[in-house]
Amino acid sequence: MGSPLSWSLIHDSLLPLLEALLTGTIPLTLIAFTLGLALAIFLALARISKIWPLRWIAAIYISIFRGTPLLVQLFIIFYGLPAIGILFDPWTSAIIGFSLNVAAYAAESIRGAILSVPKAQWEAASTVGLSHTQTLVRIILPQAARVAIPPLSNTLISLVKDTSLASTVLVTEIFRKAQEIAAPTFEFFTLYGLAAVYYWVVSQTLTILQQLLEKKLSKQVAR
Amino acid sequence: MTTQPLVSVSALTKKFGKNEVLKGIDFTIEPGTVTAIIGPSGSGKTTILRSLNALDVATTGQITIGDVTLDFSQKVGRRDITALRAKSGMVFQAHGLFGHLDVLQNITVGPIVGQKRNRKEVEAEAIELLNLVGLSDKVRARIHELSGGQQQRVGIARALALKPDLLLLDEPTSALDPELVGEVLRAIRNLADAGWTLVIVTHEMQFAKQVADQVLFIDHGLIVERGTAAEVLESPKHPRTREFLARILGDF
Repeated sequence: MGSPLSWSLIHDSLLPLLEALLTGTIPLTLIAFTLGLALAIFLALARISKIWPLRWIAAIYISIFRGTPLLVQLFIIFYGLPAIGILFDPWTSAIIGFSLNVAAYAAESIRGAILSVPKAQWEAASTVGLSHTQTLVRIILPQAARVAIPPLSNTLISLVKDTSLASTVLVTEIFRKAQEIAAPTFEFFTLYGLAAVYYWVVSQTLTILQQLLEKKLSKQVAR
Repeated sequence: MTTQPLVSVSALTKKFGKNEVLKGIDFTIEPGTVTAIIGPSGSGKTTILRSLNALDVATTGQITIGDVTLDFSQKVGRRDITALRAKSGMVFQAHGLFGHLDVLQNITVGPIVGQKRNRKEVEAEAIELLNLVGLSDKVRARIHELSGGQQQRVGIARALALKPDLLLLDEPTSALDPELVGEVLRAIRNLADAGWTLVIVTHEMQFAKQVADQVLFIDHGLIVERGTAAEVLESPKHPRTREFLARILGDF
């Protein structure tokens, strides 16, 4: 029995895994998060809308996507939908699945953040002649953003790690790459351990970015 | 010579649920004058002010400001409310400034975004207004860097930037530390001297005496006494007015 780690394999795997991180995991995360966030803003607004059907649709959506496993959602999109004639390639399936899922979680964070802006801000905005939409875009959302950053950062960091599930719908991201290299060599400990280190580095980087952003925005306290 | 009143309010009532806060309010305001609204807390004085700005929509009665008349016994739409609201600027007790914007942006966001006016022109006017309220050195300051008195003066400049026909001030000094009250009152006095039409809900009786042309004493949703500052504050006729003034002037 030698060391459980194979140093030469680590050396040889560093670059292929990095490549999979940069061409798979990170773009998948960024695209899904951006689309999910855009959808989440609409869902959050629908949840606090005066129009009850909008509130209901948003509530049902959020309930479904938070109430079922992400893995199941991905499988339905990639393996299930072809049964009714809807076919997506692996990347499209993954982007759809992650975006829809992340939107449900982010929507609740954004809704809470919007409600945390004092009501007096709405009144003040209306007295200076801003419409409802102008108030939302110019006054409320910028201030809500500050409140939403910690929970949204959490969602983003979870998403980075959750993208490993894309391996199950045949997307070549870092975890799938690790599986591919590990399979013929049986060096599972080495490869999965290395993948874990990469995930940790990305998550840690995002945590630091979050702290910097929070520091910057905390200088603009709303009262 | 008779002038047309700028504001006329008649038979105004306001209910919040079953609670009737205003029970039939009548008064007029001449252009270029200062009206002080005084009264115990919960009397309805702030609701009168908020009704003039349509932040609270009255239940029945009429409000006319300039060329806009709203009859609240009929259905009042969003457009009517916007039209009435555009007639007056509002200064809140707690300033209600936008914390994510700087001083200049706080003043210009309404005219630029809401009224779609030219940015350069609006910014030049805003700087003049900051001059008027004594804050020309704070153009680019963040709101949280200002004292309470400075914030309140930014609130005044923000309301004036909309070029309203009159300015409504809801207890503009009540939330301030005592040493900051003077600077805000001075700024308001400058506006009165400059000919602005002001309506101010206040507990500062000395200030009302010096600056107000008209004083309304409100209690339980009704105007109990209305007259010049000298009439209402120095020789009040109604016992409730006397009692209130005795209490607020520290005659324990």
